[in-house]
Amino acid sequence: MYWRPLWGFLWLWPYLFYIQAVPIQKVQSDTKTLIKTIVTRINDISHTQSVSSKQRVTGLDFIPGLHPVLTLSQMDQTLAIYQQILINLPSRNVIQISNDLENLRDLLHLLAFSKSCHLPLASGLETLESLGDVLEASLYSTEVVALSRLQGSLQDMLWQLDLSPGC
Amino acid sequence: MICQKFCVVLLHWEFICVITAFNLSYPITPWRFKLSCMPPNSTYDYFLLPAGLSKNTSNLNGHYETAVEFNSSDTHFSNLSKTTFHCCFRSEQDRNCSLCADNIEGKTFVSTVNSSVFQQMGANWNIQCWLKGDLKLFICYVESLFKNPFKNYKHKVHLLYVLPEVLEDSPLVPQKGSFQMVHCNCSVHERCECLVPVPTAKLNDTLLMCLKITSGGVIFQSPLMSVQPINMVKPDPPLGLRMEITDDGNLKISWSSPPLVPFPLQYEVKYSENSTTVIREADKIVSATSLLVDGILPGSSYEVQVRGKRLDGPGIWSDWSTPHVFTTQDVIYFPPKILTSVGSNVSFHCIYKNENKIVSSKKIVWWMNLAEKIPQSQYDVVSDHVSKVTFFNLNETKPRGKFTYDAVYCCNEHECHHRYAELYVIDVNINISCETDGHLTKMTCRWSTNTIQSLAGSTLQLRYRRSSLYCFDIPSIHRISKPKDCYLQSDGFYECVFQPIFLLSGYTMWIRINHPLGSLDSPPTCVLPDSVVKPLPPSSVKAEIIKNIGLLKISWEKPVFPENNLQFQIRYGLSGKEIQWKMYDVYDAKSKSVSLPVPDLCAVYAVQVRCKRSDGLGLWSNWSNPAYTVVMDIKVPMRGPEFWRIINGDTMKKEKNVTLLLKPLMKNDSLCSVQRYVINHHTSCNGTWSEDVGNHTKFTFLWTEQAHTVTVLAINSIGASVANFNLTFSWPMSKVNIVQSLSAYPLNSSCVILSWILSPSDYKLMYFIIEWKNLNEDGEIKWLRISSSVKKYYIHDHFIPIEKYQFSLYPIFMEGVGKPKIINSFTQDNTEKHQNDAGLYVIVPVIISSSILLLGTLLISHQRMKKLFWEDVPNPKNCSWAQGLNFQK
Repeated sequence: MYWRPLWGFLWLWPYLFYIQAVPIQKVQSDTKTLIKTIVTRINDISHTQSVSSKQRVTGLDFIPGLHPVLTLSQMDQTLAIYQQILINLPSRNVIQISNDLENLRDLLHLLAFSKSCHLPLASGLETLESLGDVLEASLYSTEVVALSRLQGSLQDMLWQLDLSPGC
Repeated sequence: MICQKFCVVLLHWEFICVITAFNLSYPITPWRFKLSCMPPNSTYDYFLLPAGLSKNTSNLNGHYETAVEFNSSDTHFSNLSKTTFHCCFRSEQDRNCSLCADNIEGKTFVSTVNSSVFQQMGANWNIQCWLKGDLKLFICYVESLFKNPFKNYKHKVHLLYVLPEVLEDSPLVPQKGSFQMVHCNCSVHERCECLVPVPTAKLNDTLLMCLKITSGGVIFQSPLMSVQPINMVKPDPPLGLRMEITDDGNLKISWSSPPLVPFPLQYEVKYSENSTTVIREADKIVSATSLLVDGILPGSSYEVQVRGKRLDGPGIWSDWSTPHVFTTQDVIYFPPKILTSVGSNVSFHCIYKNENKIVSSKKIVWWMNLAEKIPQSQYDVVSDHVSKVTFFNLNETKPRGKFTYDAVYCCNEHECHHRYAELYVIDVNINISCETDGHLTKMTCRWSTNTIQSLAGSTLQLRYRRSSLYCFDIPSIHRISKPKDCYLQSDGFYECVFQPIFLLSGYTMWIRINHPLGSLDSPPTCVLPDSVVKPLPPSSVKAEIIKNIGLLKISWEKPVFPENNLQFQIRYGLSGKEIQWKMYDVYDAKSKSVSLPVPDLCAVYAVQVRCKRSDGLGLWSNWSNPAYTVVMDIKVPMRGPEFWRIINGDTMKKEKNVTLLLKPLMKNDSLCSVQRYVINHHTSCNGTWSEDVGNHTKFTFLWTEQAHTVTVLAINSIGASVANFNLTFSWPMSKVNIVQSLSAYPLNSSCVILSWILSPSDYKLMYFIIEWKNLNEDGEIKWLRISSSVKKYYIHDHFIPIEKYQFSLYPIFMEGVGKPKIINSFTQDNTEKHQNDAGLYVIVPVIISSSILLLGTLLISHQRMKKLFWEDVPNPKNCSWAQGLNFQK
């Protein structure tokens, strides 16, 4: 209980260095550019383009939906879940996107720090144990739906970032 | 029969062991102890029973004893009296037989041939037991002592033991038949070795054993022994004993622990130092596998031995390792060799022994390469005998032949020992350059070792550490880092690939040079993959000359990545073998095309485009594949063709055939091609009409009227030329003469100057036509249109001096073609004058020179003739007969 403030301080310590070294405008610019990059990466994956948006896929409820994310904390939480899912996908392109998501989450933390707010550690998926079974049974569906929803979420975040989201 | 007896004996012994096990067995805590057996009437001169223990009682107070009885009733042995021997254990140090126990039965069978000796003295054995270092064998050595009366008899030793797992069912009383027996190997030195295999899982369990010794026909049985094998481990001696002088000037004794020891060991180090001045011995116990000995002296020898024992819990010291001797040199450098990088500071220490005396550190001087004395300001006196020299801000070592180091000598004033320390200074400034590919998935880093001096035996390795975001201002080498595999390329560079990458993470990288003397790190550099992106070149590059506008239009598509704003660079030039490129920069990130003016609209241009982040970060992409323009009509022809005429037929007739000679339009004027020519005629009577002559450059028409005006138009796919030449054929105007004179001067065979003088006129002069032809040939006439303001003109053609040429100058008025001035040869007078002048300049000097020469020759000849003549005439003064003669006469 008493360790929490210390952990929080240690968590924020690296960001203290970055904030001093990198102007926040650059962080904002890099964040937007990285989001665009990930969106383009997903576009480049050919099989994600042919997915019809009219068809709803069931059974993949653990993948976050296209609900608007309003705060930096929600963004981080959403990205943490996507990152957790992507790490478990075998495609090579997806590994790069997962790395990009890690950078993006670090940037969000930096933005949050610049607003003097502390993002809690993203909890990720609690029911990820069942992800293995789903992946084994429907790898293609999982990849396509996850990437498609991630793309939508990122575009939403890009729009939100212009509105100076709260913590 | 014998076998039956042996089996009976064995069973009996086992029975004894089983029975003994009811009592408490002898716990082997010391690894070396004694087994003593004595007759009952003995006074225990060696083995004093503890107080209160009767000789024929047993199983009291935890004392351990068995009895050996000589049974005379045995049919195979005769002359035996029945005697009971009490066997007991005692430690080596303990003279009292405090560990005796009586056999519960008190008697057993034993027979002997002659028992009189041991009936008087008893029998003694030394026993050593331990678990071997590999934890697989339990070993017991049984050795008869010098006082053993049966020493002259052949030994037979057996060891009976109970495996722990057998005891598990009945832990207190081993069942009969549960004992196993091993035969012990006895050597001629009265030493028997008994080996008991111990399963690894049972190392912590209790092992019960007893010994059966047959000597001199008598069989002795030991009390029961109990032992926990794990507590009796005797490791193998330590291995790899070595000594070296540390960089601090201490003697480091190090060794390796024996293999297969599952627990940490402690070590006992025994060493002695022998020098001319000091002899010392020491014995130290350490838990590490090394020991530092300070105060090392030059010219001394050190002898060391090490042994090991379990660190925690009971155990047995191993045997001592083989002695190892190390002798120090008369001059000790520490460190003896230093590998360091350029710009660093290093120090050497030295102790110098000269003629059995250690040189005072104040007298020590230092030399480099035996060539230069190191300034005393760099010396330090560490102690009475230790001198130190420090080098500051070191420069790279320059190899001298095969020697890649500087030799540092510690000298006694004017005398240097031949031994030296080695100093290797390497420039480790290795530049690492990285580039992220256009897909933003791979970062390739390259580095070369060409800049650094290669050091034999060294290996290079790129190490890196990734930060979560960005680079710190000053990159530093972190304690925790990862190696990266790099591969040597054909160009001598090492190449390392990071894939996938973290675009916005800082990769701090450096090269580690590993060498037996140590490792050096190059200055670290931090690379952010996002800032070293080399984009893919722009795609869909197109080039065309825009119709009607006449600009070179270049268009392209930006690459997919990066998402940052990009600037573009265009290069374009006339297509050919060696293209002279012109550059054009486009800073507008949204631009997808640009239009540029080019001098030649009808040429093929090659165009390439490349891009780079407009914020200055990253690298230029490669140039795109070249795009080429296609030559096509851009505009209507700039003008119509120049043309002249040849009038055929009788000049006095009214109707004449006029042949028009058209000069074909070049691309620059036609923009860029001519499909056909059209001739517009205009006469006062017939009005205006046109004739299409196609691509022909000659056209003949009939001139019938007083004035006939023709205009020639050039037509391409865009339209007809707007600016055109026209020519009016007019009878009246053909008589207007404004050219007073015309002169033609040949400069050489390829150029003739034509000059003329005009007289004033009321007509508006448009231009002149110069016409010339070789009169000796029937070649076509040649003509030129020149401006009306020109008064002389250089005609470039191939002129043959001996041929005759006709030159004509036609004034062309708005109203028509005027009267020409015609000359049929080059202008002579001036030419001859020039020739005469030239002759004069040459001949006159020749004549003058010849005259002077001739005059001189005559004068010299005259003088010589005169001399010759007078030599033949006798001198009247010397010759008598000549006196009185007048020779002049």
